[in-house]
Amino acid sequence: MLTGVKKGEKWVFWFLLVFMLLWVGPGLELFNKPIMVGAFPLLHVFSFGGWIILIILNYIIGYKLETFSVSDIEEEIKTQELRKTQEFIECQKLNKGEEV
Amino acid sequence: MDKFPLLVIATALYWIACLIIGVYASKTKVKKPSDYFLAGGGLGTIVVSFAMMATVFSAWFILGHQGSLWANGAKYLVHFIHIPLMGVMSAMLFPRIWAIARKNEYITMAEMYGSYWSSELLRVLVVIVGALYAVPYVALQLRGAGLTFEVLSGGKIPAAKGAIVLGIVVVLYVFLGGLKAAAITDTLQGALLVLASILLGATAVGAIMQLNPDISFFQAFGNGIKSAGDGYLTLGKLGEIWSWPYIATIAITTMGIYTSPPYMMLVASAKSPKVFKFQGFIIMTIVMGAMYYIFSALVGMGGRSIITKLASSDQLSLELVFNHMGAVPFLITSLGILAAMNSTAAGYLANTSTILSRDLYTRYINPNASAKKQVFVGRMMVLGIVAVSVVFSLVVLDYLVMIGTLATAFGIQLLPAMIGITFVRKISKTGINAGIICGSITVALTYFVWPHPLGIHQGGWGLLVNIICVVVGSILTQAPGKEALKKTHALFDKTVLEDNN
Repeated sequence: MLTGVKKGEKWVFWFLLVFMLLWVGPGLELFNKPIMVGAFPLLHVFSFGGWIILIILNYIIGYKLETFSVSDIEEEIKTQELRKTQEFIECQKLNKGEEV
Repeated sequence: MDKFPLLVIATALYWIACLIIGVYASKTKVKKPSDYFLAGGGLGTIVVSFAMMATVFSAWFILGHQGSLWANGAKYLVHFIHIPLMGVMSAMLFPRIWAIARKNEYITMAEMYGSYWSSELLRVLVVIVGALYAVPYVALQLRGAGLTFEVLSGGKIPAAKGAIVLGIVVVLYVFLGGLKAAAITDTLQGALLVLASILLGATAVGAIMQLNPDISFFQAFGNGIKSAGDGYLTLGKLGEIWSWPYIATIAITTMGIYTSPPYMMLVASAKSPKVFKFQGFIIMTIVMGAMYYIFSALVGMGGRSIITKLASSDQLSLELVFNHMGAVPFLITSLGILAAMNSTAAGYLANTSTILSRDLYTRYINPNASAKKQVFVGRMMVLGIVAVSVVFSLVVLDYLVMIGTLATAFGIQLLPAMIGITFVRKISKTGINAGIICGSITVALTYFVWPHPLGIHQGGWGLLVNIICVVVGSILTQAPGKEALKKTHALFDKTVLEDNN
């Protein structure tokens, strides 16, 4: 159902769903206490923890997980754009009556 | 020492620099529309990353978030989770959006979605959502600029005049240089406003220590928070705002910045899709995460130990700048605050004017318009959007955060379409069209008519109705065929064409 996502990579989506339920969903109520952890409210510390987890997840998604080959597509598109630019220049030359 | 004359001189010099960049960018030869509209599609990692950051980092952050954090406490901080989640979106969705746009030479989101789902109605809907998103978002920046001038001038410059002056400057350099001018200035402004945020945080720390010389910084910081009462440490009650359903929906809604039509053009203007790994991880998750979770918390929650009463919470940062900074940090931070608004307004103006020029004028009024004519119409549109935004900023007097989330509530209505074109190929035209229409109407009703029913943000209601329509519509009607898949999903997985046989 998800284009380009292999079976082994689906955990990312499940993890995100569970994460959302815990960190910004009903799971938040578990930490809804008027307690200070040192100088910071418990909810603040909890949110900070969520940020750290997402730093790790984002590193994995950005640098370790490749749901398609970025390099191949980039090369294909660059080649296509180069060809079109050359065609455009040739058309301009033809319009001016120059030899291509 | 009266710092205001210094600020006037520095602001004038800074805006002259922006205009010079606009003139420089205008020297670029426009051979095809994408040269002006997408800066030729050749913007590098640093320029795109900083431009994307500066576009998010607006008056909303530097005035709105700090002030709302001061007013609401820890519950407000919880919704900052949208920042690293936007980093996740950047890494997952943007390389695909880039590839689809560049492979098929789409300049705008309406062209991309309209072509994939073969729907003229969808093209128009995307343009409408783009305008509904951009006008409040630009208005938010203008209002922020007005407030900045008013507070920092000690009331000598009324807010309305400040808003109009910023509007004129931004119009001029976007008018001249299009997205290229906006992106280059955004890069410089992005760096300036990171510096301003750090200075604001440091000033808050300095002020807390100065006001509490006998105890440690952390003790004073904690005391300020505790003095605000238990409600400052906990969530709102279920059914009210700042309860967990409200936080969840406002966090998701804020991610509508990334699904909005103007933002897609910034994505397509990148030189390479690899930009989004850096942008998503380093810039969005780490740099901006630190700005929100560390520096914003220092200013917003630390502000409780410094200031106990404010006419409007949006004034918190400005009060710190005005009353607790020396001349040099005052100038840098004031310019950083103005830069936040400048860069965001410029980015959205450049992109929204393109959307109106390409998707309305060229598509329906003058299909044979030359590249120069399209650019001219785009420039005229810049004037129109600013005029409407100025009026909006003077008429709708909600808090900055609320205006911002109204804009993104419309922007997030395009999330199902973005997922449909990149990951889930079963989503049908009828589902998407019905979802955007019903979702946007729901947003308007739950903001203007019945605000936040059951303590759920208008963006959440809109998205819920939208998703129901998308699911039902996609079950009952057919998904895009092989031709559409060839241009999109097949770029990432050739086997989708076999599945569709």
